[in-house]
Amino acid sequence: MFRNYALTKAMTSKLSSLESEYKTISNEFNDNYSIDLEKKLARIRPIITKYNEYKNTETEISELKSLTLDPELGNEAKKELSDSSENLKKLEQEIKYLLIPKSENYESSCMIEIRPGIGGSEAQLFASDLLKMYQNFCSNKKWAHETLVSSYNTTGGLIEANILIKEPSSFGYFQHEAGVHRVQRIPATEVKGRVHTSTAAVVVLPEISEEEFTIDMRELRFDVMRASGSGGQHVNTTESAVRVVHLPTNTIVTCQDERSQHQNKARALKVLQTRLAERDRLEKQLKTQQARTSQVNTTDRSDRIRTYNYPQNRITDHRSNVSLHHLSEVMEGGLKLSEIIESVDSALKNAYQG
Amino acid sequence: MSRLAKLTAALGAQQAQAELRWMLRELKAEAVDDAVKLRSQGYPLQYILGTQPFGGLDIICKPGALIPRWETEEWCLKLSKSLNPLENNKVLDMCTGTGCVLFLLLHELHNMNKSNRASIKTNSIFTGIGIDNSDAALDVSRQNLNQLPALEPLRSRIELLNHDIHKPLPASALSSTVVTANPPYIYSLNEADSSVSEHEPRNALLHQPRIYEDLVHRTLETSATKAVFEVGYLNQIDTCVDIFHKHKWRAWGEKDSNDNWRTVWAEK
Repeated sequence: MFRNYALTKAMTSKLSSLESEYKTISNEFNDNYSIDLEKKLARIRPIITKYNEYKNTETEISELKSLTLDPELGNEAKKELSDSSENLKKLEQEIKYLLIPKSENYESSCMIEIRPGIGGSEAQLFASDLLKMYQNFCSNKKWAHETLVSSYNTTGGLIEANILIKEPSSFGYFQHEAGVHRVQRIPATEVKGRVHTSTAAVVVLPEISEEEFTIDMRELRFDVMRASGSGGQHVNTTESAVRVVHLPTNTIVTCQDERSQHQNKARALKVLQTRLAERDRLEKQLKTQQARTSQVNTTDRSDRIRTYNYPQNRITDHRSNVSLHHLSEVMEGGLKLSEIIESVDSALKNAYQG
Repeated sequence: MSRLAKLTAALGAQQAQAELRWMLRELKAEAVDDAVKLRSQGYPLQYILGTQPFGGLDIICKPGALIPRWETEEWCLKLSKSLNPLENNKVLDMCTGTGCVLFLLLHELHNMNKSNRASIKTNSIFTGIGIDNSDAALDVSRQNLNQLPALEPLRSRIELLNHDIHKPLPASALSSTVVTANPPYIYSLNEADSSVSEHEPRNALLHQPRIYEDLVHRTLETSATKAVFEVGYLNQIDTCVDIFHKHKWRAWGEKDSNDNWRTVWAEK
């Protein structure tokens, strides 16, 4: 009835190798501070903490066991024993979760990109609703964020938006937001009161530092709006849109949100860098035959991950099958969104465990 | 007529949307109507919003001083990259206006210096002096110097003076190592956009006789080894290059990224 070896041998050997790794890195870290080591430590620390708790509980259990035959303390010990073994089971589950390999870049900060999908101007409107939702959600979470790119067409519809979220592990947090988000509602322009279905695509990318990925500036072409004529003091142009083209891959980023070309150029480069790094990473992954289910790049209605249903005031995630009836609060960026996000995380973890 | 329609009529759809967005972002809600009215009549956006981003600085803009142009930002950033942040640079900026050139150069030097660990040992000092003969312009540059948060660590190292560049330099400017200027260079205000000629200060736009000759001579009075002046026409480059060559400096003209002749560069 009391299991001594709750964790498999493979797990315990993995755990003891993590323990020694943790010691080595801690020593190195004390002599020589580096962000890289700090990241490694932060990744292992929660596992080590839980494992220590686990080992302590195990010792406790074997001590209690030896007491069960004691005429005076026996009954007391049996009672405590059952509490402790409950605790051990719980810790075992937690350690198993922690040992599940985290996705690459889990600890990175991230970029969320939003584009309208099917549904014309209603899809553009929905894309800007999602943009607002993520912006406000980050503000409510007190996570530093900035909107690097938001470009609109001449009728004011959002074509593309990109938010940089400067929060450690925000990639891990938001990674499953990637995919097609579907909205069902009556568009403001719909005279007959029919419910339309439209989509927006969300892509989540880990932020890459300049040291991790550099772009060869000779492979770029910058297009800017230039007035004809003498320029300089003769004109005072306020057009600041910048388009950067990465020639080898024909990747194009346009930024017109900022008031100077210098700022727009810096932002466009940041976005380009992140996209190219992701492209690079996916290529490498394919080569090593480790392609994991990656993020949706199409805006096809069929790979929808979540539905925002206005007539029913309901938001449903199709992976966790969790529904919330706080649609307007979520769309305003309220913290209710985290319930959905976290439900997906545990649903996917459970799926992984089988 | 809606705000957007008013702006669209004056600026085109794309630009009207961008500018309305900026106005809503930067102005108080009750100020936007007036802003739209002024803007659709050709009043400069930067005087309405009060600033123009220039490199990493948000330069305060008022009708007393020329609004910083992207062309100026471009050469200014290029020049800053050619300077060694570990040397004791002293920048002299003539016709300083808002002070944008002077401030951005020192700001960039400061940033390069900060990110360069070796400088902790060498403890390099860089300073700046801006001169202008317009009190209205100096008011604007002083406001920038006193109010821009990014300039806070540099404030005590920058001097702003009223001085006429047709006269010999004040003593404190003689030890300068780098000289810059964006002098008034337009030959006739008819050549400028009406938004420029009607609203920006004439004395910051309209070319005066011998101005480039005097800029070069002022440079030669200092201990500078490098100079960059903005120009509006190729012949203004020739004027400067000729005098620099006579004094055994290397000198050449450069175009901006819109393929217009924009600067004269000189090195001793």
